Amino acid sequence: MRYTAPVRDVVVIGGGVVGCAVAWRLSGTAARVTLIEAAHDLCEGASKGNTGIATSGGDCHPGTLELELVRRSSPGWEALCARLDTPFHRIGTLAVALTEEDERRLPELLRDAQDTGAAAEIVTGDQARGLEPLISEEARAALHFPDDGIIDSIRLTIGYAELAARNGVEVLRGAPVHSIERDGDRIVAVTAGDRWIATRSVVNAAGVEADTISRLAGGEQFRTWPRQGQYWLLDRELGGRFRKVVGGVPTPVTRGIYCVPTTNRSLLLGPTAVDREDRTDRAVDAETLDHVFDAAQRLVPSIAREYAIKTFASNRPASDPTYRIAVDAEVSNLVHAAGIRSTGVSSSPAVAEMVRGLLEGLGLPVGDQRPHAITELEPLPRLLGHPRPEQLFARDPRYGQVICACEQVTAAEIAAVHGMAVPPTSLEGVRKRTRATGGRCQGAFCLSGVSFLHSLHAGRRPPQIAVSEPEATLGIGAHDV
Amino acid sequence: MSDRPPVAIVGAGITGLACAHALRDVARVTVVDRVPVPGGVHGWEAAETRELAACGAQLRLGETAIRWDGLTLLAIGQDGPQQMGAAALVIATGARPLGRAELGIAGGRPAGIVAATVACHLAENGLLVGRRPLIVGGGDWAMRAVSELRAAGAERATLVCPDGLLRERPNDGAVHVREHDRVVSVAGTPRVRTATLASGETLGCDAVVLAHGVAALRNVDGAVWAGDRAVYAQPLADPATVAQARAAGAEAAAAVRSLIDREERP
Amino acid sequence: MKVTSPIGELPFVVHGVSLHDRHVVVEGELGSWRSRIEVGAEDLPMLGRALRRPLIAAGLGLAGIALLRRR
Repeated sequence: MRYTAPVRDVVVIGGGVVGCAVAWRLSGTAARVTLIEAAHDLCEGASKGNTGIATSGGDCHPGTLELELVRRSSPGWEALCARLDTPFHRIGTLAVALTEEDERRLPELLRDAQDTGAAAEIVTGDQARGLEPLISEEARAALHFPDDGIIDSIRLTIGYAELAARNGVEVLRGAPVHSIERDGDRIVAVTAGDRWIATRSVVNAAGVEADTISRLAGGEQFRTWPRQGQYWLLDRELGGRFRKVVGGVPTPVTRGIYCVPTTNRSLLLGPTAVDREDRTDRAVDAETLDHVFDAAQRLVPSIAREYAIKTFASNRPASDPTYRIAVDAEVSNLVHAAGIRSTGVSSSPAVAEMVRGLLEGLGLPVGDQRPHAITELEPLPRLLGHPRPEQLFARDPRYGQVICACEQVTAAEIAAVHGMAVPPTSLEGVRKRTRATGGRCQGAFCLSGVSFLHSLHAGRRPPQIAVSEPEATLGIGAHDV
Repeated sequence: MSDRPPVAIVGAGITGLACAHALRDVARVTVVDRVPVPGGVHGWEAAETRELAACGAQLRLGETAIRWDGLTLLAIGQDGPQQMGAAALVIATGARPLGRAELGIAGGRPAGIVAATVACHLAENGLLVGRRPLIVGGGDWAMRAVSELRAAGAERATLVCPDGLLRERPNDGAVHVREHDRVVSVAGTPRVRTATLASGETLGCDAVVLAHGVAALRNVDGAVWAGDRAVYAQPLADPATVAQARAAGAEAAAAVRSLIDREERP
Repeated sequence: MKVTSPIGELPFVVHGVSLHDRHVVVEGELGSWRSRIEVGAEDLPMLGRALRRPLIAAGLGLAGIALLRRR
């Protein structure tokens, strides 16, 4: 057991988009912060498996905390993403009515949208096709949310953490929380991985495991469970033709399935929304995938199986109520940021500010910005789509060595991410930070080259190269796994 | 002769070189390949490679072609970005086995599931992807994966292949074959532990090697599915024999000729 | 000379060998990629293990021959 001195002001549990946003927001203050993540890397849960939509809130329920935090976050994306080297494009969403029944619901949905304060309008089928020519001829009308945007949720999460780490936040990965010690109604220490960390407060941003953390702390008994979504990832050639996010008409239960062009021009289809029991279950099944594909194809007939690259599932943290952002009723220095089910990305900046306010109310030194705090990351230029490749090459000749040809990721980019404050410790980590091996050939021709460079930069001998968790090595060692 | 129009060929395997050879009298051909040697899957030492590489085309090896806009090909290598004007583009970048999503393999995404190309590259460099691998497929990629993995130390291997596509029965007692079957799902975390077949059988394994089916490999933006004045020369066979590659190259050259002729006669 | 690499086996052609600063420098081409190998005294303990690696062994052998010839 290693004793960490001095005592922390805040321990943030959970390295997803919410935990990292909180760490980022606190990192400019005088507070001493440690961010703890159980998995081998940040951004391993719902934050890496989502549609990448930064909603402007038009389909959130009026009067909810969710809506308030989404609305507060929405206008600031361009400025924030510029500081976090995160791609963001405010392209807008079209919620398309394919049936007469859907069409009849639009005026009511428009009124709800107007109540939220988000920009919204009803457009005819022809107007919808004018905005997005790929939409089906069957579209009768659509609800247009012009202020919705697409964002790279992985770059955002890692960007938050990167800036936090550069400002002195300690980031511990591969450190699951074992126990939380109390003295009376206050937490005094957290044991995570092989560390014992004395702390003045804890922020619970543990996603699907938020209930476990609360229980370990002796806090309120609530339940979080996985709301599973399954997705398809389709080729950039198709995604690059989209101008808008295209979805169906939301129902009271679910937002429905979207066709989302991503910030690197690939296309995501999904998600489904099924409450499950097993938190570790991230299995896709043919029936659900077919359902997603069919729904997407009805909206955009050009969608075809030949464009499919990958399918995956991820678990959003559901809870009742959602958006539990408050000081725990039992434990006086435990702040929850839990049950943030569908809009974690979209509300993260405002959630972080709200958590900061709650911590300030507890007397923690999170008030003023430190004068020398870093407020932006230096952007890492990427070859894919770059208008001036000769400038990149002049800056670093390793931009001339394309390692992943499908996503055009160069040796310069792979080297650069290994020099980050929170560098990759696995091939999956390299993929999240560069997209190498994530393209249409899924690493068939670059995985060995990428693993060679990763082993070089990370100082790992080849048998130790991890695909994801440390025990999931690329090659099998002497013992049977 | 400066009259001849420029043609860019991406891929210096037998297909690309054969195409260059067939065009040598009517075009100024540049062949680009991201690998610093010619020959593609047939290798730089093959007789056909040596013969065709001396066809007079300019070989830009070790440069990766990344963008085509109908007029210019952008490639980048150790000397930086190079723009090449071309009257036509030939994509001869070969093929790959199908991926998980294309094969419809359900389940989670544990470690240990790799393409046959990866399993072989790693085995050549001393990294064994699994001691008890399951190889999906029955063609050349699959056979090569089985023999490379066994040579690198795999204790036993299972070959799972769909109807009638098994090229030959491996003469190796440690290799079990399941014909007329396919993998429908995988399980295990963080590494794969089991694979379930369509027949219902569940097999233990510590790697799943994807060596089935053939998809064209394409990565030049602007010429991935279709491209302006782009011709595709990618025999979809596992393996593509030298004869097939030469034929595909010749066919592409004919298509390029008519493309050029059409443009010269407005 | 041949080198195995993450992208397969490649030919290494030596264009020149020289001595810089107590390092033997082998300049050549790995296929069409410009390549250089520097071998110094700190690499000598590796010789025993290195003899299993044809590149370094061959490079050292060539360097040794070239230097002997220059004398």
